[in-house]
Amino acid sequence: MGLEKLSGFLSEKAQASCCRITQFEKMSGGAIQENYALDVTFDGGLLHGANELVLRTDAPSVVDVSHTRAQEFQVLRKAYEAGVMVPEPLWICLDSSVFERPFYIMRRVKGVAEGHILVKDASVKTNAEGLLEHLGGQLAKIHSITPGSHSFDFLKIPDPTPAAVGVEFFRECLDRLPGAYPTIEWGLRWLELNAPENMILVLNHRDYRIGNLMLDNGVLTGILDWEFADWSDYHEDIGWFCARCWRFGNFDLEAGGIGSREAFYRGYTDVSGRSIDPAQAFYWEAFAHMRWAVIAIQQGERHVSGGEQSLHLALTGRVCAELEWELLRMTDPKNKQRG
Amino acid sequence: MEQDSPTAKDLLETAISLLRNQVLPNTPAAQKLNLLMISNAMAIAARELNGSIELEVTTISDLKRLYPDETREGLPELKSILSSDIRSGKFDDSDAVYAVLVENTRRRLEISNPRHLETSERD
Repeated sequence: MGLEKLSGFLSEKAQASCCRITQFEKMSGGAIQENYALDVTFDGGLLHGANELVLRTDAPSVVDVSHTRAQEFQVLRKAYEAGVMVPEPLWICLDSSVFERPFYIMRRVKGVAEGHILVKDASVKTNAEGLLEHLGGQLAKIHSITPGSHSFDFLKIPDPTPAAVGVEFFRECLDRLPGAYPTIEWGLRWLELNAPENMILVLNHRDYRIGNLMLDNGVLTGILDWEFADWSDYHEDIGWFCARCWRFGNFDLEAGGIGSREAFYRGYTDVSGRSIDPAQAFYWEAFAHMRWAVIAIQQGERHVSGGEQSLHLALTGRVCAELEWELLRMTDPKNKQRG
Repeated sequence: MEQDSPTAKDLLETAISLLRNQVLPNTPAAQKLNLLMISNAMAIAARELNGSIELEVTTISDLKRLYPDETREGLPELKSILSSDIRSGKFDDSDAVYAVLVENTRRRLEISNPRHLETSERD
């Protein structure tokens, strides 16, 4: 692919007389989106000199629940303005003649975002509690964006509640798939019957976990992957972060597989002023397993249906049994008082 | 029918051992994850070769116990009936249904990821 049009776009947006692209390389990861490391030297303008940037665009096969790049760019910009540590979003391009698909440009942050590596990383272990307080505080900053302070024309206020909307959505997903999933149905029924009555709506990242947080030497450098952000109760992100399925094998370390739940909660509460209800956190951890299970079934089906043959998708489909097992452990009728 | 020897399970397990012990250490870092995925997929397939028929028979038997009068006998049909009944609330808090689901999921997990089962049961 020629990069002349991209250079022209970058120069115009940066108000530079010209620019040179010195590196353009696809980055690893991203089944839904593709990221390219983009090194650009501008002559004059807003970003004069050498810059390390990222071009983010859709992968050829798109999951229908994720936002478009234009929508994600809007969320990212609001988060940046709210003081959340995200890579600074710079420009969006909807003209497909420039790079075949819409894309946006953001600054590149240094570090590692692979969960299975980070939970074993010595620099993370050394200051896990401090890091978790910081991550809790960052989540609170994301949650400072509320329907009262912001509106996004592509985000609906969940009616009647985020939990009820989620259960209905998961059932619709199952009904579109071949086969039946009794254990998933059991979990959905539990989520329906135990849905919290109270809610405080805030902007949830909805994929806030180790693996989407760029860390450099144990220090947060950027919160990534905003394609699922939506209005929900603030416990949803907390449940997702602490859910057993996102601990990368470090099951004893309840906050993301790196440290204590208390440190994460403390960081969150100190910045937001909100307390965390253990029953609601438990509910949203069950919900997290359900959401991941439905995604895993869909990913496996993408492979099985012949839509996109991939060993990664096929193995993701097989993760479902683990998630169902955890759901069953959380929804044992003998533990009814917990719900 | 008589099975040729070595069996498919044996072949897969031997191939996995070669992959993990001799190929993986000499594989470039960029390809290691792919190789681990391949060996994981082969390990699941080897376990499934051993237990998939038994899993289906046992699951049908468990489901027939929940539906003794049901004339349909295929696993997909029985799963579909159970799913629909769970969704409608017929089995809310049913210890019997919960026990069937736990046993079925345990058997599937023994194939897909037995290590997860071990760590989970240690909790």
